[in-house]
Amino acid sequence: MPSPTPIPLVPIRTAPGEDDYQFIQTWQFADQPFYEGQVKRLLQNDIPYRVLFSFGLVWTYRDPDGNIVGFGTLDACKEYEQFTGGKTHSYIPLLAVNPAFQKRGHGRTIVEHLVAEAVLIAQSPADFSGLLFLDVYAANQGAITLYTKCGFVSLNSDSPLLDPQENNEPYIVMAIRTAVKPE
Amino acid sequence: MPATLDLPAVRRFTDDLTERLRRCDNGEGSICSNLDQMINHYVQLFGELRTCVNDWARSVFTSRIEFDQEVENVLKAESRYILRRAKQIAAQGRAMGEECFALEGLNALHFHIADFDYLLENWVSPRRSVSPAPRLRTSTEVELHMLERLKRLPMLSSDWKPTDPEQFAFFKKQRGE
Repeated sequence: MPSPTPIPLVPIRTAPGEDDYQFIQTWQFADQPFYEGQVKRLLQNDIPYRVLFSFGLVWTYRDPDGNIVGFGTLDACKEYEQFTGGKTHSYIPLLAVNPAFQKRGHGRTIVEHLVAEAVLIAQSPADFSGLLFLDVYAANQGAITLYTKCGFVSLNSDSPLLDPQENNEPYIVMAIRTAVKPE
Repeated sequence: MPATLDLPAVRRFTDDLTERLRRCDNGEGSICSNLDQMINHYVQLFGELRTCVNDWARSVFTSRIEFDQEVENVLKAESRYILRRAKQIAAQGRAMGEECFALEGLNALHFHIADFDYLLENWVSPRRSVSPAPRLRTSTEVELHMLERLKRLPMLSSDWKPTDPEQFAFFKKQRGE
């Protein structure tokens, strides 16, 4: 099936406690057993932590009709510093498309916006790694396909990691370079 | 910065911070002999406290330590204390700035005041992360394998550009175009 032509979206910064953030917490996602309520738990716990105590940023994305069709998050952190020589790097903790607006190419637009933001961030400080990471459950094939289309490469698809806190469900780490080749 | 983030260590850190604030407010020693120096000293102490708060929160988030309500109470109380005093110093600084000269550290002090205002207003107690990345460590063997793949990652192509108009404008500015 051909990919839908992406509709331009307007990114708008938000933060925990704001109306847009409360709205995205009401979305009903079809859960897999192993990540039951995981999006909500991330929105309740991890993202507020990242905004308050790290460098976490949150955007909602509006379509031309003003609907909030998705959200994305980005942090500058050291989750994968073993791969960056101890340098801070960009990391996507979570993104999602509003279940009522899926299959319209919005996921790709959101990922591309987050990658571009990571490119812009990586230009500034000298001790910042030019790598952007994310992690995804191996069973979440739809997400893996999306990230791959956006240029992410799986680092451990043949040896997924296990998360005992989430029923040992295997997950993989994906990365993309945020440095642009010189002309 | 405290070497560990348990209650006694954090208490020692905040007690020391409070004492340095008190000495500064009383104009003791040469560090805070005028308003300019006082402002700069507050900026430094704000920075130290923020680093400690962030390190403690990260240690909980990454499962290196257990959450301790008492530690949180101590850090929040210290944050409120320094914020209250800093607002008074900043007000003095603004008044002086209007009258005679510009105070170099005033912008930085206002930045920290806004930061701590936001932090205290929106405070959430840190908890162990839901996502695995902050908590889990990979084995050396897997790490080496992943590093090999990372080395082969290509850069973005030379004609890459952001599609979002605002990002594109910033991108061009960064490249001096």
